[in-house]
Amino acid sequence: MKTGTLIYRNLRFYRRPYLAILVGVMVSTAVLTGALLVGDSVRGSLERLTNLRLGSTRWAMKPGDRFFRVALAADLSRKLNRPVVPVLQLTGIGVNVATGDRVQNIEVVGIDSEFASLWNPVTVIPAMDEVIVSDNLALKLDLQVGDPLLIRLPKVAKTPQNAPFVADETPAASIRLIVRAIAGEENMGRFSLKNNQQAPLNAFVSLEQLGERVGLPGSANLLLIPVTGEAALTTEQLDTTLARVWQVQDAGIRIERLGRPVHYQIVTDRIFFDDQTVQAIRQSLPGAERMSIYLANTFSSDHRETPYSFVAAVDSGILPGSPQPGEIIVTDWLADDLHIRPGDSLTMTYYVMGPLRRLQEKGAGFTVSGIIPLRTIPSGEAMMPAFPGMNDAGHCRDWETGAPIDLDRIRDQDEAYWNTFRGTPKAFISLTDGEKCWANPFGTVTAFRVNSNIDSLILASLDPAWYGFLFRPVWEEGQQAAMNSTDFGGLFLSLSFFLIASALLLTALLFSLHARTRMSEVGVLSGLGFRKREIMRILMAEALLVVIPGAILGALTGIIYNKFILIGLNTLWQDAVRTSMLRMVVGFSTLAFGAISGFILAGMVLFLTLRRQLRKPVSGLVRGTMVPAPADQRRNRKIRLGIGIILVSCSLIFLVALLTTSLAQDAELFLAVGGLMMGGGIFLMNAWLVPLPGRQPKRVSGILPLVWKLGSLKRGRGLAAISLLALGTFTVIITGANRKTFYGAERDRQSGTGGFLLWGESTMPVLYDLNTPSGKSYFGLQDEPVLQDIRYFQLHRLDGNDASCLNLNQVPQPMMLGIPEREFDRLNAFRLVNAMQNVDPKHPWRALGKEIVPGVIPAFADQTVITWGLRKKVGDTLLFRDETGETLRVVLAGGLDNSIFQGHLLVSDSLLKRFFPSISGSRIMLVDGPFDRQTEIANRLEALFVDNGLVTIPASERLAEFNSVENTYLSVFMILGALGVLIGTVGFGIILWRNTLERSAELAIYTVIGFSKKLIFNLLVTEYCIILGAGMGIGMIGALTGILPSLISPAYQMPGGFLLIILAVIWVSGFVWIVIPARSILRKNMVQSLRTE
Amino acid sequence: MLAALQQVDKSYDHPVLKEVSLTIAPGDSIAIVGPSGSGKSTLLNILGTLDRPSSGQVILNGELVKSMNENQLAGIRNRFIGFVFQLHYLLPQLTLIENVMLPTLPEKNKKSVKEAEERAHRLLERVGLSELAYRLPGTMSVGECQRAAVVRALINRPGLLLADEPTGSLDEDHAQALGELLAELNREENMGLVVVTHSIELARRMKVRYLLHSGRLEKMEET
Repeated sequence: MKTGTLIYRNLRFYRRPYLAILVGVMVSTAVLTGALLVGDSVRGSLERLTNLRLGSTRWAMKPGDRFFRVALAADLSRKLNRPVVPVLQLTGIGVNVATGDRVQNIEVVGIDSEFASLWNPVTVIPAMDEVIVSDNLALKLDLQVGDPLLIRLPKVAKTPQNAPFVADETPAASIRLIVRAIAGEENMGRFSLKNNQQAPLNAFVSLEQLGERVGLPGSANLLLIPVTGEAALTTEQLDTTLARVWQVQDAGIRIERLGRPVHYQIVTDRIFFDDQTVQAIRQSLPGAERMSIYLANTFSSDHRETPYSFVAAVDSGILPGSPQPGEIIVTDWLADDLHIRPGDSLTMTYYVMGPLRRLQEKGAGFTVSGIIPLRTIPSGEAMMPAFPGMNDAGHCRDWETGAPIDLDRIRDQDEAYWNTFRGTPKAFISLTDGEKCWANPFGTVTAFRVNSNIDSLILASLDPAWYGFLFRPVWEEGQQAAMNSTDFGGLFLSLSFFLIASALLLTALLFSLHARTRMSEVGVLSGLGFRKREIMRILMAEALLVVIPGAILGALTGIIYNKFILIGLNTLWQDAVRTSMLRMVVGFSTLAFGAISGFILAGMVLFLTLRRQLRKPVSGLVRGTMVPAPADQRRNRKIRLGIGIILVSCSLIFLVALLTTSLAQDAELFLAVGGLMMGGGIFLMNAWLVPLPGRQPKRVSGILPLVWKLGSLKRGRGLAAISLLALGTFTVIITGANRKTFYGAERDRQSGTGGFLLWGESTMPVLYDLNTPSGKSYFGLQDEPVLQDIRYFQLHRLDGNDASCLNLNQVPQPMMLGIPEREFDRLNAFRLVNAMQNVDPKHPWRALGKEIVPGVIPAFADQTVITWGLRKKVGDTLLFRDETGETLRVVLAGGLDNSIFQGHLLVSDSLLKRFFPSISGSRIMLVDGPFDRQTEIANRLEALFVDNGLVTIPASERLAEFNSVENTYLSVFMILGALGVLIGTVGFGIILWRNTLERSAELAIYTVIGFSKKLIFNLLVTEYCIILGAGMGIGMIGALTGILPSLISPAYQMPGGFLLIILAVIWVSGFVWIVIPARSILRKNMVQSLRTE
Repeated sequence: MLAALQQVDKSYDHPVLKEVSLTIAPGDSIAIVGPSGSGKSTLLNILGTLDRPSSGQVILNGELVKSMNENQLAGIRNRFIGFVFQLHYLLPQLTLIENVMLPTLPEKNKKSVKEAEERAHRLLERVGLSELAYRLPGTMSVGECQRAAVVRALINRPGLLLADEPTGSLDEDHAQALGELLAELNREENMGLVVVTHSIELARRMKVRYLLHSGRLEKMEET
């Protein structure tokens, strides 16, 4: 006979126990593999969503807030010999005309026929007055094909809205359209460049119509390039090709032809040239003369005043004579008006515009160095930049400057001047003085004058990257973001930990019981001279031959477990993933990995179990009894009793200490105390279960003393059952009860809400400082009694991807928020849980105020965002491109405790404005005010800011939304944990079954001596219920200790009902497993059992 | 000398064996009798290396057991000692011949295994079980199984056969037959035989009898 034959015979003979072990291995492997497959499925689903978002788009170019010619797409397409799709994408508000329902933040996507090339099957493209809405928008606004839809749009312009003297018109453009079609997810409905699984609310309209309605005909702000059968492209090739075909107009530069003596003037749509462009133009055109035009509030001299006049700061070649610093050349008109002569002093006042249109009036004094006839100024009328709201005005009184104009000051002669000379400057100062007076983040120079056509020269000197004209491989980035998304495989592996552990414990238990039945065999083999290693090899070979198919079948069954998890995530647990689009994706490598892991884990568990069994002395194995010496039992009991008492005492001492000191809020410490309590309880129970020969009950009447006297649940088995039940119950209660709640702490400045009342987010930016009288006046806030004593914290936002836990994708460049760090420091708002060494713990916000080195700025973010959303740590750096195309390094200087800022990077507002000056107005608003008027304040604000599409939510509610993700995971963990405990109760049942079978003879003796079946049944059930109750009770006591601070908090809300149901299910399951073996054994002929024995 | 116990003591929570000495030579047959709980099985387990003495020496085949590791002890049990227990402990999943051949599994030499197989058949024939060689133990009587267990103990030609209550689970006829078999094999194989028994009949078949009483081993006078 060969060893193989022996193993084969053993497997056949013990097929039933091995089948049970196989099922155990299957369950543990299925859970493990299924959990890992959740990772595959989430990744696969996100990859699929990327394809749904982008269609066949592979590259995209979106130059920030700039616009370019639609024709650029065609130019580029010709060069590349592939479709290039122009898009004008804006954010708006959708209104169902019939119902009046509104939806904020809809993506209004202007498209033309080229857009169809991105989608397969070919998509319907909206004609004039038509709109195609995504299905989620249709659902939200209850729209059907043929319904009218009103879209309110921002009054966008090529000029940054916060540039000086740009009109502050209410964003009121709107289009009334008819819904032509509803776009499904498969066909452009999900179109978005943002790496986010949440579907955008899209409204597709005609590109031409959208451009015209917002005042930018023929403009686009997004180019898309699809994948084609042509040779692969790189972003570098695209950027290079773009640089060949773009034109100066695309950079917002216009060349105006003037009369003699100067032939051309170079101006920008953005009013002010940025410094890079100024340098480039000066280098390419050394003869170009700069000038900077600004609006002066007043020129005054010797009690005479001239209001609202343009002043020019010029290079020396613009005028026949050039002003030196401190000098001013005035026109004869101004000289006459003020009665001034060369040598006189002249004072000029003017506004300087800060963030949120905070105006500050400044003044400068000059000496009149000359008087120039107005009519000799070369092309004077052309000097004034195209300030929106001023150029087209028929009268001075019609000016819309974005700064207050006192109409009473405007005289007839001023109107007459405007009618005749328009914006011709009345005075000229040196460019140096101009820069000193009104330099702003957008630049100083408003125009160049040159004598030759210099289009090609300028173009050659400009770099498209300065204006954000850079292609991004958006599809590749999307795939990367999906690949590096939240590791759901690891997450669900952790969440399923208890389930896997239970299944493995069950496997170990089954194998242990099986091994025990074969101990005599092991003893005989030892007696026959088999080395333990050889016996081990034989038994392990048998076990592994069972584990292998178990692991393979388990891996396949894992697909079913994965399916159930996905159904849960798409429905019940949708809060965790914010999508119902998760589909099952099964990777062979994951299946193989799961099977191998399941095999290794089960193999190790069985090996350890077997090794433990084989450690017993050989002579005992042969006899089949391994009763420890009474002396050992007494010693063991004392040790366990001692440990139990120490653990419980420590737990009680810590508990009292924690409750009476300031540490009382530390949940982790309480959890540890709960763990100690549970551990102590298990040891005490362990000590109680040690059978001592000398221990006898004082009386043997009644069921409990009888159980005490006769109960024979062996210590090891009883303890295993108690530990399993205790740990399971502890885990279920802790996870169920330890949800994140904060009600009561929401007004605390150090809490995640910062103590703020409301979080507001607007579709259109709010351009004014709402804390200033002018801002209040603009929106009518000062007339609202409910809004008195309210303080507004308006935050500028740089758009990017949402890096909060609501987004499953990895986000390389999250949204950036400009924070008023001094205000936050004064309020001591929010709390850092992690910070770099140079951050002052007492004044952490001050760390944000200064650039670390040029081009490197500090930032805070929620620690969870840093760890999970960005996959970074404090001290790491993120790379951005600032508005001039330069690299901006953002160092993560600190991690905030869970806050309402989740998903954003927080930087100093002043630094954000410096690197991104075009960010116009605030989109985010924190409202600080009385909590008792929260709803009234929110309603009033939303009504007053209806045109801006303001939506407010209580700051606590926003935080709760983020917490809901974590709480959902806790629910998953609780349910999977409960499943684990249920599996544990199966193990408990098997222990009882085995124990009852082994007691057949004993029970037969009870029958023989006259015990009724009912009494025997009660004996068994009581004994086993003590075990079940002890396990669950110890777990409950430990858990309740762990959550004591929450329990005694009046604000705490525990999902008690759900928790009780789960515990009841565990108890019922355990009870069923108690009753089944007890009833089955009593059905047998017990006297026959005695005879067999 | 095949085996010897020298001044062997064994205690659990109370003394079981006290200064027990015993010498076994080839061809010896020794019966150890004594009341229940007197330590007979413990003595046999110590002799068979299944247990270790608290003090004293055990010498097997000229070697001190104390100096051997677990693997060496397993080797000694496999090649030098044959064990017969009160219950036969045949593996129910194996046929009779496979059970008998079980001790040859650790043997790597194929030739030796072949020889052992021939020997197994001879021995089964010798004990009247050749017809049942390919039957499973569950289909055989207890007596047949116990005889098969003796054959299993002899398969590796042990120098020393240890039998712990070999007739304890048999009826009178089967017990007598097994006693005869053990005595005959002792003569034929010239091996040492130590039998722990309550059976006076079986003890009488042995050349020497010892009484184990209060932990002490005393040679019984011929009656």
